[in-house]
Amino acid sequence: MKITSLLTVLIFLVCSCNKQDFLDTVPSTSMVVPSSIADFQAILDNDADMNGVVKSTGQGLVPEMGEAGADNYYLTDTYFDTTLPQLFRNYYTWEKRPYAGEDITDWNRPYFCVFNSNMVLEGLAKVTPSSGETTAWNTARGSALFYRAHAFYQLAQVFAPPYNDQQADGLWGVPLRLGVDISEKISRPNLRETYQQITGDLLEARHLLPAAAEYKTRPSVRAVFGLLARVYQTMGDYGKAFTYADSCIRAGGELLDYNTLIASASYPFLNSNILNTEVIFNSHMIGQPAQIPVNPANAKVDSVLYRSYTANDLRKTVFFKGSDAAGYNFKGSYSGKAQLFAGLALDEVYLIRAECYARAGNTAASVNDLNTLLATRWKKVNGVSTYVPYTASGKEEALQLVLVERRKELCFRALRWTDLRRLNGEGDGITLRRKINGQEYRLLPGDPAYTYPIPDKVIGFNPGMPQNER
Amino acid sequence: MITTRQGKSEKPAIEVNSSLTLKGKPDLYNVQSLSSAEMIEVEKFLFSKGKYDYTLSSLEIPATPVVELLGRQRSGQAGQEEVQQQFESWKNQDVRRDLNRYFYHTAANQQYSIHVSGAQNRITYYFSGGLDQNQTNLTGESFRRVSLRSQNTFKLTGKLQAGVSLNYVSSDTKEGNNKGYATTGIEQGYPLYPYADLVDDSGKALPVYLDYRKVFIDSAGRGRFLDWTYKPYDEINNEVHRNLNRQYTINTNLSYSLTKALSMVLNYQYLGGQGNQTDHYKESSFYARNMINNFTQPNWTTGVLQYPVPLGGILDASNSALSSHQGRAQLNYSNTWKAIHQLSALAGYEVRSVKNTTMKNRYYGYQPEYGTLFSQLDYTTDLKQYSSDYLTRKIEPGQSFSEQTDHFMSWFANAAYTYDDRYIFSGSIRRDEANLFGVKSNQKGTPLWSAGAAWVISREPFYESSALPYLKLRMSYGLNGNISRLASAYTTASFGTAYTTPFRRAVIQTPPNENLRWEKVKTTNLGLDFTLKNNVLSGSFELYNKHSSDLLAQTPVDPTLGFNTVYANVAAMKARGADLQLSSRNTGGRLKWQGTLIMSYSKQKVTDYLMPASASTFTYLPATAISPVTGRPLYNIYSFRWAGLDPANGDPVGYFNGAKSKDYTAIYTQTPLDSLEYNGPVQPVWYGAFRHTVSFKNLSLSLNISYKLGNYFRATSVNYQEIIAGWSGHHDYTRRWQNPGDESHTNVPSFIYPLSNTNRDNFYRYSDALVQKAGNIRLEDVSLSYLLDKKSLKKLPVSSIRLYLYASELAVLWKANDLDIDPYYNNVPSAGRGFSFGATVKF
Repeated sequence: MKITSLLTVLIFLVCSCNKQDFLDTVPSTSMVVPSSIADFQAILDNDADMNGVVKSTGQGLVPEMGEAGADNYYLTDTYFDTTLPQLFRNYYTWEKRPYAGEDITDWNRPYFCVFNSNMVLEGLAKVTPSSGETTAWNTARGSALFYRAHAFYQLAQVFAPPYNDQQADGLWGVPLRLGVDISEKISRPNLRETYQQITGDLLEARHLLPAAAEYKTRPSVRAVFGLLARVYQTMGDYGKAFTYADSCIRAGGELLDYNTLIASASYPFLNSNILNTEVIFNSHMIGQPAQIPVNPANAKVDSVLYRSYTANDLRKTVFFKGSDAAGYNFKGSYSGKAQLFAGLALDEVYLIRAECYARAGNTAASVNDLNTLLATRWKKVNGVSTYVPYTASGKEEALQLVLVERRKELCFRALRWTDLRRLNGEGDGITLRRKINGQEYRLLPGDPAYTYPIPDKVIGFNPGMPQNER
Repeated sequence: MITTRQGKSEKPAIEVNSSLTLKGKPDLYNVQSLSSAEMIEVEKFLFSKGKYDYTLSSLEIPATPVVELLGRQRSGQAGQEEVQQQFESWKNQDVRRDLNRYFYHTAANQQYSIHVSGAQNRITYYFSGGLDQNQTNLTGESFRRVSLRSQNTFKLTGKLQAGVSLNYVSSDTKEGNNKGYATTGIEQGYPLYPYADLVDDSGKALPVYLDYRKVFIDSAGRGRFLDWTYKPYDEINNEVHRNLNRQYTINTNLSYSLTKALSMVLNYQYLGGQGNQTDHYKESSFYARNMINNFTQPNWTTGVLQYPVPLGGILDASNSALSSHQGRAQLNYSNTWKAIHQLSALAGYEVRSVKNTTMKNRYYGYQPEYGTLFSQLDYTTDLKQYSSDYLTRKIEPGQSFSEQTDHFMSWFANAAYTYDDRYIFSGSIRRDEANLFGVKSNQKGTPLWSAGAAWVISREPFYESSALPYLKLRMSYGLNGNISRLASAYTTASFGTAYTTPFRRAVIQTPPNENLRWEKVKTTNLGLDFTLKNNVLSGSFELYNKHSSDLLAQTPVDPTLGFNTVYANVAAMKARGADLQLSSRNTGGRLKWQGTLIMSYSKQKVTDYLMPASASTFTYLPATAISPVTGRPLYNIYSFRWAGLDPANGDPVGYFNGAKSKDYTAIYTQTPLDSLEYNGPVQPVWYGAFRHTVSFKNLSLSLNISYKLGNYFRATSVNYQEIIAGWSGHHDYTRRWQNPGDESHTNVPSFIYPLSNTNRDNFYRYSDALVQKAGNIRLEDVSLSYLLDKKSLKKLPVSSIRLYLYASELAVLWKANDLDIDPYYNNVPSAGRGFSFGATVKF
C-alpha cells in the first residue's frame, strides 16, 4: 500500500470534521449563555428570585428585618427563650450588634435580583431589536429597571437611614451596583443619589413597559405608578406621591370585596381572586416561614392593633385567627399561604392618595378614598353593607383617620417599618416597647437602631465602606 | 485507550481467581457523643429552665421521650417512681447497640474471574469473565456485577493486523432505607437521641418520634389516617432503590506496518449503555405514609377524607442512555542505527464524543401487586398540610429531562532519542480541547508539553565502580494545564418553568468572568537512579519544583455581587519537594527479605492571591477555603489566640487588639488576618511508606507502614447551641468548667443558659485550644501469600496455585495529637478492618 495515499486519507479524515462546531456543542440542553431577547425575558421571569414568590416555601425577596423590628406583633417569652434563633432574638431586642458573621439573606436576596437586572440591561444593550422585536426589547429593559429599582428601594428601607430631604446629601445610602463585572469596586453613595437612582430607573421604565400585566409577577406601567407613589411618599414628597397614586388608580384594577372570601378558611386569600383584582405587583417577604421573627405561626398580633378592628370589620376575621387567651396569628397574606405578601396592591395606593389629599387640605377627597376602600372591607348583611362612612371636619382629623386605617389595612406587608421611620421623622414621636422575661426594650423616635448594620461579610470585602451608626 | 492483555502461547493459558473480602463494621464509638446518662441529665436541666415549655404546648415540634416523660410528671400524669424507673432503664440503653446489631453487618465482597488466552497460527485470543458480588456494611445494600470480555487479534498479512474486542458489563446496585448512624427525621432532620431503642428484645421494630410528637400521631385523623409512626428498623426494607446498568463496548483496531520502523494504528471504539434507576417508596414506607397523611384533606362534617396524594406507594423511575464514539489515529516509529542510535516516536490524534440522556418521572399510587398507578393528580393547587397549622404545599411532579454532550479532541506526539544507551533525550507535546461551556474559543484548550534528558553515568567509559553498577541522572521540564467544567467566562443560566406563571424562566448559575483562563503548572524535575552491587540496594532520589499559576477554586466574594462564592482563578503557588525511594534485597540465604522505603517532602507556598481577600477573616477559618496569604501553603489552619478560661466563671478568654478580651463578637468578626495564630498546613509536609516483604521458600509475608507528618487539624468539641437544642451533644460537655479551679485542667468553657451570644461558641470552636497535630504512623496492610508451582511440587495437576491472605486498616501505630484522635476519622465512625482470602489458579 502506498504510504502517501494512506496518509492523505488520514489527514482528510482529520480535517473533515468541523472542529469549531464540534467544540461549540452545548454540553447540556438546559444550559445557555443568554443572548437573545427571549433569553433575557426568561431571566426576568425567574419569579422565585426576582419577585421572591415561591412554590410552597422559599427564600423570598423583600427584607423581613423591617417588619421584625416593627410593632405589629409580639413574641411570647417561652417562644423567645426556647425556640427563636439567636440572630432573630437580636433583631427583636433591637440589639446594637446583631450579627455573628452569618449570611444575611435580607442583603443577599435583593442583591441577587440586582445582579440579574444588570445582566439583562447589559445584555440588551448589545442586541439591536428588529422592528417586530421592539416591544419585547422595551418590555425587557423596562422590567429590568423596575426590578432593580424595587430591590434598591427595599434595601434602602432597612440598611440606610430614613430619608430626610435636608440631610440627604450627608447620609449614607446603599451600594448601587450597576454592572456585572465581578472585579468592580463599589462604594456607598449618599442617600440622595440612592433615591435618585430608584426614581430615575422607574421614570425610565414608565415609558418602556406595557400598561398592565396579565401575571402580576411581571412589571407594568401600573406597577411603576404604584411604586413611584410609595417611593415619593417615603421621601416625604406628597405632591409627587399624589400624582402617581392618582395615575395608578385611574389605570385600572379594582378593590376586592372581602365579603367574597371565606373568613374561616386557614388562608382566606388562597383560591380567591386577589391576584387579578387588587394586586398590582406580586412579591413576597423573605423567610421560609419557620425562620423569621414575624413567622405567622408564632408571631402574635399586637393586642392594641387587634382590638382596633370593630365587629363588622371583615379584616378582623379574614386577617387573624386565634383566641383571646392564646393570642391571634396573622393569616391574611395576599399570597394565600404562610409566606408574607410584600408587593404592591391597590389598597395601599388608595391609602397613599387619601393621605396626600389630607396633607394637601382636601379633606372631602381624602375621606372619600378612605370610604371607597373600607366599603369593601365591611360585612354585608343580606346584600346591604353595614359600613358607616367616615366624615372628617378638617385636615388633621382626616390625616389621623388615614393613618389609623393605614395601620389596620397594611399590617404584615413590610410597610410599617418605613411608616414608623417617616412619621417619627415628622415629629409623631412613636416609641416602640417590647417586654421579654420582665425586661423592657424600647425603640425611641430617631433611634439609630432604625437602620440595620451592613453585614459583616460585606464590610470584610469593602473595608473602607462606612458602617451604620448604632 | 487501554492496552489489554493478549494471548501468546500455543496451549491456552487459563487462570482462575477467586477471593472473599470481609470488612468489619464501622466503629460507631469513635464518635464522641454524650452517653445516654449524660444526655438525660442535660435534658432534665433544660426542662427545669423551661426550655421545652413551648414544645410541649404545641404539636409542631417533636420531643424526645425524656421531655415527654418530664412533661407528664409535671402535669401529674406520671408518678415519681415510674419516672425514676424509666430513667434508669434509659440510662442503660445505647442506640449504638441496636445499630450495630441490626443496621450494620460485616461487609462481604466476593470476586470470581476466569481468563483464557492463547495463540494459534495467526490468531491470538483472550477471553475473561468476572463476577462481583458485594454486600456493604449497611443492611439492605448489595451490589452485583457481571463482566465479560473477548479480545482477538488477527494477523491478516505480514504487515496488517486487526483486533476486535467486545466488552459487556452489567451491574445491579440495591439499597434500602438505611442511613445507619446518620438516621434522621424526614421533615426537620432531628437526629437519633443516644438512648433510642430501635428494636425490642423479640426483634420487633420500635418507633422513634423524630418528626411529630407521639400525642399528635396517636390522634391524627381521628384514627382514620394511615399509621404515622416511624420505625427505622422496618424502614430498611420499606424502600427499594435499585440501579441497573448495562454497558457494552466494541473496540476495533487496525495496525499496519508501513515500513520496518514505521507503523500506523487506527482505533475506533463504540460504547453504549442503558441505565435504569428506580426508587420505590413502598406503601408501607414512612416516606409514602407521611406524604399521604400530610396531604389528606379531611371534611369532618361529611366524614369524607380526600386523598390528593393517592393511597399506594411512590415510584421514581429514571432511564438513561449513554452512547460514545471514540476514534484514534496514531503513527509509531521505532528504529535503531549502527547499534548506537535509537529513536522512537509516536504521534496521534484522538476524538471522542459522549452523549448521555436521562429522563425521570414520578408515579403516585403505585401498587405493583395490582399493576396500578394513579395519574389524575393536581400539581397546581396549594394544599394545607395536616401536620402544620400554617404550612401549605403543592404535590411534586418529579419530572425532569437532561441531555449532556461531551466532545473531546486531542492531538499528541512524543519522541525519545537514545545514544549508545547512555544519553537519552525525550519530549512530548499534546493539546486537549473540549466543548467547555461558556468559554471563549481560544480558551478551550492549551498546548501542554514536556522535555527531558537523561544520562546513564554508569555506562560511561570512564565509569568504573563495581559497587554501584547502575547510576542515572535525569531531568525534565514541562508545562501542564487544567480547566474545569465548573468554570465559565460567560454567564450561564439554566432553564426551567417559573413557579407561578407558565413562562420559561432562566436561573443564572455563574456570573461572567472575562478573565477566566486555564490553570497552568510548570514542573522542573531532577532525579538520580542507582543500583548497588547485587541489587542489594536500589532506588531513586528526585527533586521537583512546581510553579502553578491561575489555580481554579471556589472562592468567597462580596455578597453585593449577588453571589457568595465564585469559581475563578484564585491563586498562584510554588511547591518544592523531594522524593526518595529505596529498595533493598538480600539475595543470599533461604530467608529473603525485601524492603521498600518511600519518603517525600513537600513545601508549598502561595505566591499570589488573585481575588480580593476579605478583611473578615472568619470567612477563611474553615480549612476548605484557600488562605489568601502569600508565603504560606494553600490550605492552612488559622485560629484565634487562646488565653485560657476565666477563673471566676469559666468563660473562654481571647485577645483583641493585643489585649485579653471577652468581646466574642469583635474577636470573631473583626480579627485581622495577621493577628490570627498560624498553626500550620492542612496537607502533610513529610509523608511516605515502608513496605517489607519476607519470604521463605514458597511463603511470603509483607507489611506496609505509612506515615504523614507536619500537618494540623481541628479537633471537635462541645457546641452549646447544639446542647441547648437538646437532641445531641459532644462528649466534651462532661469536661466543661464547673467550679473555680477547673481552668487548670480543662479548656472546655462553662455552660451558661440561656446562651446570649453565639460568638462565644464560634470563638472557642476556632481557637487554637482545639488545634492538634495530624501526624500519624499507620500499619496499612499485611499480606501473606503461598505459592505452589510445578517447580516445587512435580505432581501438581495445574501450573501454579497461589493462596493469599490480606488484612487492611489494621492499626494506627502512633498519633501526634494528645487527644487520641485518628485524624483520618475525626469524630466520625472509623472504618472497620478488612480481611481478604483468595486463590489464583493457573492451568
